[in-house]
Parts: sequence; C-alpha cells; structure tokens
Amino acid sequence: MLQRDTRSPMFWVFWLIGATLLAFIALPLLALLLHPTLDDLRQVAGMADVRSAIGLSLAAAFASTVLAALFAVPLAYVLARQQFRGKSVVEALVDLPLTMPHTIAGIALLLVFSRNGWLGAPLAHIGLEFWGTFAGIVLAMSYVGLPYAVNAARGGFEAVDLQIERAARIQGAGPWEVFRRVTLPLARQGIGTGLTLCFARAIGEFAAVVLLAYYPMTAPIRIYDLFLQSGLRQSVAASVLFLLVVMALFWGLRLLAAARAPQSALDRQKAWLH
Amino acid sequence: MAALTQSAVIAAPTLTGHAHGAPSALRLNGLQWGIGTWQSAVVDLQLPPGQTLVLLGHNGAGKSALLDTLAGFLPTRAGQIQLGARDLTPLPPEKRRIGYMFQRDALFPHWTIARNLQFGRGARDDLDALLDVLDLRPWLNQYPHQLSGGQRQRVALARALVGAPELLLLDEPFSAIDPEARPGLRRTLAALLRERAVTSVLVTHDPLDARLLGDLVGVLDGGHLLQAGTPQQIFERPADLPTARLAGVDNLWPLRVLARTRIGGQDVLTLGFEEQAVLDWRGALPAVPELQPSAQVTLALRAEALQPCPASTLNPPDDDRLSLAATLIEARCEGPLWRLRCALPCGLEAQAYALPAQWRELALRSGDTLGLRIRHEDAHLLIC
Repeated sequence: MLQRDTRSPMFWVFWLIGATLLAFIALPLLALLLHPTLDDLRQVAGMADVRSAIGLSLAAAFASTVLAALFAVPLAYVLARQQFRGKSVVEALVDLPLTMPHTIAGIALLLVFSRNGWLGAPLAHIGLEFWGTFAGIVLAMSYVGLPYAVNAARGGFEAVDLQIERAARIQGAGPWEVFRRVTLPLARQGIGTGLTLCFARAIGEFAAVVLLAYYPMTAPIRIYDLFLQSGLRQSVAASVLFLLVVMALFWGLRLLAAARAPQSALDRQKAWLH
Repeated sequence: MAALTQSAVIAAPTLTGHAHGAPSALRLNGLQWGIGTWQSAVVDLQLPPGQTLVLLGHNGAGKSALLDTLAGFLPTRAGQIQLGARDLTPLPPEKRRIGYMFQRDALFPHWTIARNLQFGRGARDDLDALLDVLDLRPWLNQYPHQLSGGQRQRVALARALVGAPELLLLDEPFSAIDPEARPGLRRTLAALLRERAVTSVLVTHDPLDARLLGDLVGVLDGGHLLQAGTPQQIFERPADLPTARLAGVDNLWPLRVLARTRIGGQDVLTLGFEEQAVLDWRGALPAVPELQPSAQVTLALRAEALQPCPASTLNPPDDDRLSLAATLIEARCEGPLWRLRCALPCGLEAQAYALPAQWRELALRSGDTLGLRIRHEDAHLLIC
C-alpha cells in the first residue's frame, strides 16, 4: 500500500521540483570547482597570506565554537527545562542575530567593542582589544553563530526525557552529577549539531568580521581582497582551496561522529532489520 | 454523600516481621500538593512501616503529582511528609532515600542494565538477591532498548529497590507493558513487597492492582482522599458513589425509599425505581435520619454478588436473600466467567457472573427470564 502510494504521480512531480532545487545548489558549486586549473590552485596554495588566512579562519571558527559550547549550552538547558516570565523575550533575543543583516550586526558590535565602545574602552585597559584582532574576529563569528548552537542544543536537551533525569536524582545523584553523567551524554547529538552549525556559520562569516576586524584577514576577506586586486581567476582558485579545506574538515567530523556513535544505535538498526 | 457503613476508617493490620531491617512509617501531616494552578485538598494519612498503600484514581486525580511531591520533584503546598523519624519536606530528592519506579521505565538509555543498577545508591549495594528474584542476570550487558517492555519494567523495579530505600514509590507500574506480561510482573512485585517489607505507595487506576497489592487502599478524586481503608472496606463497602465507581462496582442502582416498615422485629425498606417497587431490603439498618421514605439511595452490588438461577426457583422467596426476576439481554464470556447483562422489570440493568457449568445448566438465550439472588450482606446502600 505504502509502496503504491510512493509511486503515485504526485511523487514524480515533487521529485521534479526537488531536482530543480538540487540543481540550483549544485550548479554554482560545480562551476566553481571546475573553473580553476591545477596550476591556479598550486599558485594560490603557495601564497603564504592565503594559507595563513585559511588557518586564521579555522582557528577563529574553532575558538568561537568553544565559546559557544561554554555559553550556549547552559542557556540551552535553561530554555529547555524552565518556564519563566519573559521566556519568549529571551528566545527572541537568541534568534535576533539570525534575523539581523550581518552588516548591521558588525556595526552594532563595533559600537560596543571598538576602542571607544561601551565595553571596548574598559576592556582595552586590561589589554583585551577587539578592533583588528583575533579576539575581534572570534567575537564577530560568535555573534552570528551562537543562535544555531543555542537552538540545536536546546532541541537536544528537550529530547531527553525529564523522567530519566528525575530517576537519576532519586537514585541519589545531585543536579550537577545528573547533568554531567546523564543529561549531557544523552543530549550530545543535539549539542554536536548545534556546535557544527555554529562552526559552519562562523567560518564563512564575512560582513560582521570585516567591520570589526578587516585585518588580520580571514579567508573570506582575503578572497574578496584577491577579487578586488587580482580579478576572478585567483579569487576563484582561493575559494576552491578554502572550500576543499572546509569540506574535508566537515567530512572528517562526520566520520568521527559516526565512529563514536554508541553501539546501541547500531544495535537498534540491527533490531529493526530483524 | 456518606456511606451507611461504619467501617470506612483506616484500620491497617499490623505487620508481624520484616525481612530487611526496620522499615519506616510514612506520615502525611496536613499535606497539600499541586501543579501550576491545580491544588489538592489537605490530606492526613498514616502508613504503617512495611505496608503498601495503593492509591486508586482516574487520570487527573493528582496521584502522580502526589508521588512527585513525596519524591521531592514538586514542592509541598502545605503540610509535612514524615518518613520514620525524618522530615522529608525540606530535603532534595537525592537525600530522601526513596526508590521510584516510573510509569515509563525511565532507564538510562546510554548505559547497560548493569550500569543502570549500579548508578547512585546502587553503587554501594549487593545486587545478587535482586538479580535472582527478578531474573535479570541474562540482561546485565544489554542496553535498555534491547529488552521488551516487561523486562525493562523489571529492571526499573530492581533499580528502584537497590540500596534499600526507606520508601518505594510506584507510578502505574504495569500500564506501559503488554497485557500478557502484567500478571507475571504483578506477582513478582507482590512477592518482593511482601519479602522486603518496604513501605510503599503505588498509584494506579486499575482496581485489580489495589486488590492484589494493597495493604491499604486510598481513593483519590480531584485531589481529595475520598476514602482510605483495607481493600475489603474499599471494595465491599465503598463510602460514596465515586469510590464505588473507582472500585469497579458493576451495579449502581439509583433507587428511592418507598416505604420503611418493621416486620417481626426487623426493619424493611421498600426500594423502588420511578415509583415502581424493586426490592424489599431487610437487615440491620444504621440509624441514619436521611433514610426515610422518598430518600434517594444508590444500591451498590458487585456483579459477583448476583447469583443467577432459574426463574422457577424464585418462589417461595428466601428470607436470607433478596430475589429479583430479570430478562437476559446478552451473555459474554470473560475469561473463566460468563458476564450476564440482564434487565429488571423496572428498566434497570443488572450485571451478574455465572461459572461456565452454571451457565450451561441455565441454558438461557437472550430474552429468557431468570432469577437473581443477592445475599443481604453483599448489598451496600449509599445515600446520594
């Protein structure tokens, strides 16, 4: 019955529409990947500033993901477990960077964290500067990436049955131990997704970063810079190089996650097969 | 509403001995509990050490909220929870030394059964006896999702019992498992509760659980404790109509006192339905002023108290028993018994049970007339 349903003309029409969307995603990517010659790629790979820009992007995105893990996970847990007055305001605030144009986000960050900004001025006194520094890049990346981390981690926590946490409490474990040994491991998939999304959003951020820290150049800014100075050829080659590095990284993370998936998930699959 | 019986008071049998240390008594002193805007009535209750209190009630009666309050997951609205010499009220759940078996097993899905049992209190406990009683050894290295619903509940029961808790809470322990696995787990639980003599509170909506597992039964409705007593008191002498319904009384006839007379030193009540006499009630009547002609009453009769017989045997009437003529509507086989649905001449419906041999002897078909006999002491009058 189900099989006959999935063969109905409706699915053919939907596939046709879906295929258009897939082509829309894949074609520009294909054009990009096929455009540069191997020589072009070798040439940009040999440019120290391109390599350091890619390295800087990876390091800053990693740092902003660590920040997300530290700050987004606790807030996600609070939002998943507690009902309080003003919760919808907190939720709207978390989502704000998603809805805000990133250029505006960059300018807003500038007002707070530049040398004369609200927080930038006092922090400069203790040696923490954001204008044109690695810290500034991390800050801008975090601003646009954090909502993904909070929302996905929240989904992960909400999927953990409250009764399981209660069972752990009544067995004699305090709230911290329950969070560390029961909740966190059970929500790891949601948290992992959140942090991956945060990393992906952070590494590609251009507008917010360029306003707070044009230098040192991250990969997207260096690619834009190459486009302005040397034209399409070198910027395309640098783009492809950056894309390959990022894709290899995500692929590696995926393989790592699959390898670390609990045995129980595999057993569940086997149980389904039987 | 009030019962016409004098026996609806808590009268728990005393326990003679304990297998595992000295269990604690549970006392609820003026306890009030609630969730959000919902709030229970004030309840006072005392559960002797080592006994099992079964709280019977529909969904929304406040049963699970009470368990969560006893466990410390919900704050008390008023009053005090006393377990032995300890006041539990200000303590967090982890300090209460309570075992809790949840409705859905709530096992830790990322750990093996062995690790599930060794968490927290279980880390310091010798699990051997529990593993044997609950037959869990084959599953120790499995994960919860690899077990059936019944097996998971056995693990959940074992986890609730590890580390010798002073109080055991059980929230509808059989509702989430297959019907065929229920009798086995019910027997195991009954044996464990008897053997370990741990003070326990079990909530359920199934009267069978209350009958089989309760030393005491409490009836909860809308946050009110309607009645508390021994299973016999609750099931045979329910205090009011909601209690009778929850206790699974099959026949609840809304009747009116048509006349009250005295024949041969005995009170006789003529009870009727819509001015038509249904039966003459004889026996010891409590001196209740409401029980005058025109008073509304409910006659509560369990189906097993109605004995079907051939209509021809109703005459002459038997002074020891009430006799009613009825017409068979239908008969249905319910396991080892036949449930007969009958109509009385006044229009009321009566439910009775017959053993298979008795049913064969009666040789009845729908529309046939039969007699129903009821011992006076099995009929229970409720004023409503």
